[in-house]
Amino acid sequence: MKKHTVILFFLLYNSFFSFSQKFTALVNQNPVKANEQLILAYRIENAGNLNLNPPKVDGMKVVGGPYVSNYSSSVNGVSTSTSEISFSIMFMKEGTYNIPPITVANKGKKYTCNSLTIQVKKNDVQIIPKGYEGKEIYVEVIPNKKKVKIGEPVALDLTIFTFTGNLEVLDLKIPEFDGGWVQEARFPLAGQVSLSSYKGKPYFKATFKRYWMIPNRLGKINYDPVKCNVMTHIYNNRREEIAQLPFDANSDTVKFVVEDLVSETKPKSYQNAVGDFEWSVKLNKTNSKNNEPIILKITVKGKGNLPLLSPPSIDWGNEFEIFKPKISDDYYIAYDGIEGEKTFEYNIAPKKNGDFKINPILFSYYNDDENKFYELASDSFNIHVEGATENFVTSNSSTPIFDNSKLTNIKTSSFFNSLIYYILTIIPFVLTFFIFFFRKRIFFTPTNMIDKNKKLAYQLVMRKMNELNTLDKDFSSNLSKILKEYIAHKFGLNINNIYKANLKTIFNQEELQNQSKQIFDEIELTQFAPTSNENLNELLNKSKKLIEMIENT
Amino acid sequence: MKWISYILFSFSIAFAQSIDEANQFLKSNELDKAIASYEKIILGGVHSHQVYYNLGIAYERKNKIGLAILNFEKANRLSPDNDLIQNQLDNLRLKTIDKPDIIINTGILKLFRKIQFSISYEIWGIFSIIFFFCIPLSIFLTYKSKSRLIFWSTFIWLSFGILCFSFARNSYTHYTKKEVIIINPTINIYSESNTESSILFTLHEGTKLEVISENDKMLEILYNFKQKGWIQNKHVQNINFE
Repeated sequence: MKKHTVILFFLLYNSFFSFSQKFTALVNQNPVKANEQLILAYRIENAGNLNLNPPKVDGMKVVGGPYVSNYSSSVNGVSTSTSEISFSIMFMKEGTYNIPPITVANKGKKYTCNSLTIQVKKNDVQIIPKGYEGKEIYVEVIPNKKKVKIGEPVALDLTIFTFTGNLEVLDLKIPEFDGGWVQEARFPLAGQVSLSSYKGKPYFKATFKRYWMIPNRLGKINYDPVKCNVMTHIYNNRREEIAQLPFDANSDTVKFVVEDLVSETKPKSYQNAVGDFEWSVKLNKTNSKNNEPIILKITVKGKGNLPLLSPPSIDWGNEFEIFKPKISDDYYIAYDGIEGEKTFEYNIAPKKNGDFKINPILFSYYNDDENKFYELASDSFNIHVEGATENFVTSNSSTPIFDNSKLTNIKTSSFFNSLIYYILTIIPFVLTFFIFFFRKRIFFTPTNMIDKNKKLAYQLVMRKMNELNTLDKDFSSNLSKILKEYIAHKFGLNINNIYKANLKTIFNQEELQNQSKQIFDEIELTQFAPTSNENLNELLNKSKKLIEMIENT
Repeated sequence: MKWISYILFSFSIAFAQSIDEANQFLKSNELDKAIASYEKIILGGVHSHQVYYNLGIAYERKNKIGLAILNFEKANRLSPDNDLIQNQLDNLRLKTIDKPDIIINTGILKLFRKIQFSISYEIWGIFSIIFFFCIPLSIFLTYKSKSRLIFWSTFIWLSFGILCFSFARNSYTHYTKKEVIIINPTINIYSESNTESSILFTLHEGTKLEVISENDKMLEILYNFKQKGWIQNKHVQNINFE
């Protein structure tokens, strides 16, 4: 047994500690040289996924990350799942740095990691090699045009002018832009180096990112400076690294003048499409029965300002109820432009029966390469409507609006969540506990208690009588004792004062007096003369009847 | 007393005229005037889903997606179960660049949501108090009448009370949840509460973000239930009614 207990304890101990949770902070090297990258990792075991930012430390720069990894392992039956989040960091100057502990909440629990002390030594490689003194690196945002039309896509190339091709961009800050839409393009040839010149001096040139910008505001708009943190690697003739030189480079603000597309040739149907497009217009059916809606699908396909493209303006006449179009996009932002398609799907609900015509739908776009407007026209559509009932909500606009001066004004003041609400919520529970703990005082009076005691006395005597055995030699004396105890308890008397002569004073009713006297006489008789088992049973039954008679009086 | 009712009557007439006027501007596509009128009504202390919805329509027609979504979201807060508002929001979200995950309630959850938003959280709160007060009353009557049926009813009151309280709580959270809508065409999400920190990712106009914490200039946000970061508060507008 002892052996089994030890094994069980061992198993429980093992299984308990296999799920212990540990949150640690660690670095891949310490001490480290100034301006040298190192990895700061936070690791948590058996507590789900981590999501955190490193603490802010003066002189420490986060240059990469977060890099997230999750893995699990099992050693000697002990399984561990680990979540790790790491960052590339760098210390700019020599000294001793303390990375404070951080606390994370995960699955309702809080975990605090250890602090780290990092020794940062002077970087000997930092000595600028001969020939590299005064070298600079420049970043420029180069647009493909500066005078642009509203809605016209403009390419913004992020280009570095550098004295060496061995460099890496550690950090890049793209400005927030409030002049329109901007998205990064897929750039397969990013970072290709070519020879060029900058401010009259020879430099390597590398375009490492391209953004597409679509202005949606007229007048002067600015694209603020891009901030870039670059690390260059200097090698000697034997391809050994002799220096790492960090540079901060900011581009200049790029200023644009956005002009409106004002032209005599501008078609009336023109909305805001700029680029080169083709389109298709399709109806899913030309016959409508019993108010079945008809779907008109317009697909605009091509290269241009697809993200901001508005649906064409359509003259629907008065015969149809038109609902707002469902718009879906399917385009990709490539190096040479935004290409793909945009679909506008209209639900057309006929209002009445008959044959109707939808006039040709017009779509215009401005081709910025050719400086020319184009207008595309669809065919006209004939629609036959049967069984339409006029139960539509008609409005002047395609979008329904609330047109009622009776408003539902919702008050922002709150009773819920106020102190009064919580007090009122607590009161019933306090009352419940009060009633429960003081129930005896509130509901049970002394009269109740007497009644309860009497009831208990009756239950007790009946149980004792049922337990009596007529074959027992002490049957008669036990029965006498039980009856006397019951009468004493019932009438609050001393048991010694209960005897045959006294029964008349105890019971008021004559029947009870006679019955009780008779029972006690028979008990006496059975004590001294042999009695059959049947007679003893009869005596027991008579005693029970007497008790019931007493209870009923 | 007469003069108070006269003032109230004059106020309601003036108010009805201003809302009618704003609606007329919207119908006739005089969008700037309609926007100015609705903004004036809201500044006057009216929080109505109809006004926010119509203002959203006006902004949408002006192609100001961020402001349109902001006002539809406000309308949605005041009337969460309104299909018209929900449809407008769904349509506009198709126009936004960022496409966060959307939780769609189905089956029993949808039914619970429908019941939850059928009345205001204040009413649910009052119901919960009434049910909670039935508990001591039941206990009292149980001891008084010694009825087992009344005793078992205690658990029914408790269950109803908790249900009403949870409806009130959820509804209140929906109404007061701190969320913002991006108004700028493009914004950066920073790793720390300063613009010198590294940029984690970029988001665009019309996207809804949950606010976790804030300081004078920056807000810590949660995007798409999992991505955290900091943004400049000048680029967003609050959905809350403050």
